[in-house]
Amino acid sequence: MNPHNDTQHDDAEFEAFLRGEGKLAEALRELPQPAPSSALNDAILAQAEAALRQQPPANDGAIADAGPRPAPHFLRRARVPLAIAASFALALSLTMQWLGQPSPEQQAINEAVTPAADTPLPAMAPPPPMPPAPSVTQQAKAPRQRLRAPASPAARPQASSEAEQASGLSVQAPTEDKPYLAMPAPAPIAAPPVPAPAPIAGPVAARAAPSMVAPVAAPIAAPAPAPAAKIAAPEANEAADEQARQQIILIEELLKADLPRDALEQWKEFRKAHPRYPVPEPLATRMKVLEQQ
Amino acid sequence: MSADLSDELLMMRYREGDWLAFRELYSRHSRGLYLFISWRSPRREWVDEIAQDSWTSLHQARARYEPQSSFRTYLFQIARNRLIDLLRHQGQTVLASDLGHDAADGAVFDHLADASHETATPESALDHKQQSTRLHQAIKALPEEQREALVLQQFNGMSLEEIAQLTGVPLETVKSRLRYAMRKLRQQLEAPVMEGERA
Repeated sequence: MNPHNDTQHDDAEFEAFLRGEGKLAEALRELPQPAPSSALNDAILAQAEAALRQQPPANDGAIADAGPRPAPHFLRRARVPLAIAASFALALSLTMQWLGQPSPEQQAINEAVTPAADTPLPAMAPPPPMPPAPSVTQQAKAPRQRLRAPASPAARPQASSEAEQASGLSVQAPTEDKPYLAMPAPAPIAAPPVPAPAPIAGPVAARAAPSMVAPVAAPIAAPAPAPAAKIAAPEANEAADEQARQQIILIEELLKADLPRDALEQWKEFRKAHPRYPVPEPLATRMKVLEQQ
Repeated sequence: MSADLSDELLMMRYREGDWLAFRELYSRHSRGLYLFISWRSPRREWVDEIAQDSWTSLHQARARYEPQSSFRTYLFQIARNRLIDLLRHQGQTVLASDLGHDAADGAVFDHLADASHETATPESALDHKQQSTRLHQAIKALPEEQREALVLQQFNGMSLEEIAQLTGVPLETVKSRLRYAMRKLRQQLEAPVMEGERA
């Protein structure tokens, strides 16, 4: 028998072995195999059932059979921090406007009420922390300047057409919330409605998560006053840094969960969005290794 | 109803919170996964823990499951990664036992072998037990990669493509590992039985 025949014979045996034929494959089939104990089975099933009860099914269960669903966007985790940052930025800008730029209406009222020009402004008209909750009708009539300066009955009738257009948005907001509130079990993360992210949050949110914030923020952001625009640049940087940080956390979690492919995918997105953001050395090294694999 | 569905569809349902879908997946794959972990783990006492961790990890990672790859490969990948992590953390302490001399593992196998031949005549039962023991030892003595490929192909019934995907090596490498494993086992089976083994 020559070597060629040996190889052919070996190949044939190997193919048969792969099909489960032959003495060896048969012996392997008869080998007793370990199996999980019933106690282990019970423990795993009980654990899984408890975990499922704790985490209710996703709202998109109805479309589960329609096909694969793309992985949830990484900004889903950043929704709450972004909303908080937007709220804070709004409050900051409004406060600065109140303190630094009294509106013409307010100046006119101040002059009318107190003839003495040298009286300190805060003593005359201290701005209330928040205007009283207006009715829908009041909201519709209230000009946008209401947020900058405390509303006065004298000033309200002078609302411009532009202001009324803007106020239309604030009337719509609650109606948009209605179906949301009517949902039987809203997801906890999605629950906090983004509180009119306002001028400063506009650019950041529009870039980061257009579907979440932009529709509300964009119309209001357009006529943003000058001071807000000055604040926008550093706020945008902060938000970008926060987004980068969240992405790094997500990548690390994916690695911990033994999902290197997902981590690599996120890593590529992260690097595309933040090419110069500093990354911890161990993470960078690990991702480099993953990229090479 | 669940029994008619594919693993991937069941996993999609489980992802949405369907408890029955999980039960069906568990009944289909718990034995296979346990078997894989048992052959792959150097320590008998790790097996239950890794099996439990694997199913827990599956639950935690279920939202990220994409049905492009087979569910079984996904599940086994989780278990395999968990095992690799354990080996990495405790690598030095398991090297000796990884050679197939884990006393606890041997005792468990003896018990299984005895149980599987209880109904045969004493002589044939003894022969079967000896052959099973030799085969078991021969498998345990295989290099880790060969043993893994053998277990996945022969015991778990995975295709070569699935094994290549799971282990992250080319198809030809899987074939080569299986070929070497087959040769070594065949040699072990064909070798004459030593007197000491009969005693």
